[in-house]
Amino acid sequence: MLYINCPHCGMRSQNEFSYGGDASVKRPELNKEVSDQEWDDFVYNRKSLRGKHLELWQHISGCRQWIKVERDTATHEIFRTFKADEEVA
Amino acid sequence: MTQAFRIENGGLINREKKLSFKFNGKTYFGHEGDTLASALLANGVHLVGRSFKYHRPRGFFGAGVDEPYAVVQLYRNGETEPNIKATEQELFEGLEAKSVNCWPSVNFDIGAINNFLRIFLPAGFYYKTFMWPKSFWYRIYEPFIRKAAGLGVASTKHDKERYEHKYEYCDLLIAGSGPSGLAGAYAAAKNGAKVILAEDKPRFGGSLLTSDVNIGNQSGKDWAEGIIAELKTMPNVIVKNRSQIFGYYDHNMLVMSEKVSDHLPSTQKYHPNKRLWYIRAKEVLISSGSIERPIVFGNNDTPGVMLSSAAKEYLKVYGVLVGRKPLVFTNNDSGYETAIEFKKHGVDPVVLDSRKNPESEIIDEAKNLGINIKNSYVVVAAQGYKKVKSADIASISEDKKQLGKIENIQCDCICVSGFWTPTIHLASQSGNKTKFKEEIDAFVPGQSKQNEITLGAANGVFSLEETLKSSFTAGSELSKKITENDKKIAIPNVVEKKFSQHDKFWCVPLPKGKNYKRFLDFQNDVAVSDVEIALREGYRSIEHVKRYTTLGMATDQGKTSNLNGLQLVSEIENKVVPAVGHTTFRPPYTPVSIGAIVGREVGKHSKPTRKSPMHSWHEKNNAVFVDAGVWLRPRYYKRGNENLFEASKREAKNVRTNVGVCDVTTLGKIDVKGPDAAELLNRVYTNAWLKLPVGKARYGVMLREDGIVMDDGTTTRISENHYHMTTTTAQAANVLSHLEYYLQLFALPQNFHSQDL
Ligand SMILES: [Zn+2]
Repeated sequence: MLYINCPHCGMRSQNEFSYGGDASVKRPELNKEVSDQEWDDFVYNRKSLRGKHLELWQHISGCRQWIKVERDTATHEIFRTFKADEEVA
Repeated sequence: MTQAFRIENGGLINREKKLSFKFNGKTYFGHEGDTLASALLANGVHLVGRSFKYHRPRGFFGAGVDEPYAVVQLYRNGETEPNIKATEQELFEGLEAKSVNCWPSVNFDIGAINNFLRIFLPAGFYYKTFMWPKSFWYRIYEPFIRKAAGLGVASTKHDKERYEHKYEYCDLLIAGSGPSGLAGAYAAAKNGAKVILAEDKPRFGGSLLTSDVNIGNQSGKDWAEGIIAELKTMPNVIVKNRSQIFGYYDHNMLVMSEKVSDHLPSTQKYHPNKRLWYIRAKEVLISSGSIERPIVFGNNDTPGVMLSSAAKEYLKVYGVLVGRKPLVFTNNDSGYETAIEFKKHGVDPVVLDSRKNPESEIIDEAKNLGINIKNSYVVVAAQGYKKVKSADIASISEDKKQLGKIENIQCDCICVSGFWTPTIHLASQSGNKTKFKEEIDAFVPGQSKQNEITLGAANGVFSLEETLKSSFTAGSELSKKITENDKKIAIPNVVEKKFSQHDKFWCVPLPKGKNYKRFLDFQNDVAVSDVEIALREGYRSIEHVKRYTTLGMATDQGKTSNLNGLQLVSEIENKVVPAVGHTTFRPPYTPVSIGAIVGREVGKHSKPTRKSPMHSWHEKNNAVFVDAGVWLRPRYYKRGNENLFEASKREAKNVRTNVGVCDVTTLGKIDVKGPDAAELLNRVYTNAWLKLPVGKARYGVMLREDGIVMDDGTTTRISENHYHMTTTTAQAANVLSHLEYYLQLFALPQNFHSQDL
């Protein structure tokens, strides 16, 4: 069971969280002409990486905040975690 | 029958307290502190089961978790449980157990005909034979295998026992209370670290209970008792016996199964049967020791053939002689310890040592006691069907290929020692890259992936002095990092015997003209010849050989067989063992009760039952309820002898002509407030919300990002910037997360707020 550092609450076990998908995809901007390809990439196309990956998790049994988690999908090592509105460098 | 094989004094059992128990319907007596195995052996019972494939007679092979044979069906307090190792089950008054895998009885077993058909049951037998004709599978093969297979019967009744889950955090978790675990725990505890020390057996001390050593001028056993007593008084230490750490998972989460009540005739009121601990540890010290490995020889599965360490444990811990004419067959000094124990109790053993000229302190001691030692000698085959009656022995050439003239000697047990295999399961589960250690012919932990360190015999270190030194140091260093205390602890003086090098010898060649079965895996009946077939048929990867032959796949997971299997493959393939590699270790290390894994989440406890505020009104009006997710909803209100259809018609008619009330308590309700509330609704629903008048409701369809419908429901505008959303019963939680996703990740121009009501 993973041990995730919620940027709001601190270290908590995985069973307090739910997984929310790839955090590296960017939602196309509102009120702008968006090509089918852009929507396709945002909605469907995922890389399924082996290695370092930026993910969304929600601390559902805690503060209910969506957070970003940088995790190795092969080793499960967690490198960094971010608040929802934090830009990931 | 009296306990004819119980010695007069000695052992750690409570001789004051006699317990009666039943095995296969017959009543026996044992003592408090016995296991079912030691109590049966005290009564001279060696035949406990039949083997899985050939239904050959099975006795006891070990004295603990590594036992491949003595798996029984247990009866306790009106319940039954299969897959119980007699070597682990503690005796209690009124215990009942039966043999498994035999029909109609252990003494006369019809399946034993497989033993004579064994040329038809080689490796891969299931894969080859049952492929054709196809229709035979359902009608003949499958029912036959189902009847023949299995190690007991699961109860079909509701389990009355209660199981608990517990979460715990600690600085240092220690798996195993042998010398390494005790030293590590003591040093870390003295530094103020939060320590959990787990021991799977009822007694603490591990190898110190049976080895002839001195620590700080006391016996190893007394030293262990002193340390445990002191640890128990410390508030920062949890000491647990009967607790097996069986899995090492991600981010230093380990899971432990504590047998709270299995040693009692019935579970005490308010106590669970078992407690499952989820432990998040900052550091882990693996001190799980080692398991003796057998030497492979003809008919080495005959009851009475057992590990020499087990024979010693039965004698020293339980005061039980496993035989009166023991033959010790060893390739290292450990066998001599067992022989000396026998001799001390007036029994004359014969020692066969595969080595030509071994010299060490303990061998000298054995010689001085007048023990009969034969060097360069091996057991070629055990003789006897339901019990060892004699052994064919022979001298062996230095290259271990040629046998001398075969002699037969009388014996009633054969105690085997093929040196020691470190228990590296937990380290390997944690992701540790194990490495092969040439000097001990076994794998030891290598590079750690998580915060874990393996010490003592589990790390392939068999010297007590070295083990204590490294473990005291590790306990101090690991705890110092966490608590910043640095209390110096004097490492006690150790008196132990130095061991000489073991013989790299693990399998006795077949004599000319004989084709004895030489078993590698005792629980799954995998013999040397089966592995040879698999390799001949082109299987190369050790993972494939394992699956084709079922080597190491039984409930004991090859604790005594894996390394010998690897030796064989590497020998035939002409590779070194590390090139063959070992199969992956996966949790659990030992079988865990399903009840313990499920915990309290059974029946009505598996999820909450939700009732609407007008539930009692529904009840008063004779509602028939239906489960809707976690909710109880009225399906219809029954009047007289109405059925569902009649009631529905009546209710529908009433609504059409008069008025009806629908209890929508079960729907999800989310309050949406703020200047941009309408904008949020616009984004999640397909409908527009800005123009909905205050006081009115509107139906909405909610979509996911990919356009798939995820929910629907009505939303009411309560005031200018305040909406009240309802969701379907099942999707309430998901819709709330969905709204929070938009709120938190795609910040809208102005703030708003939603709340689960
Ligand atoms: Zn949180």
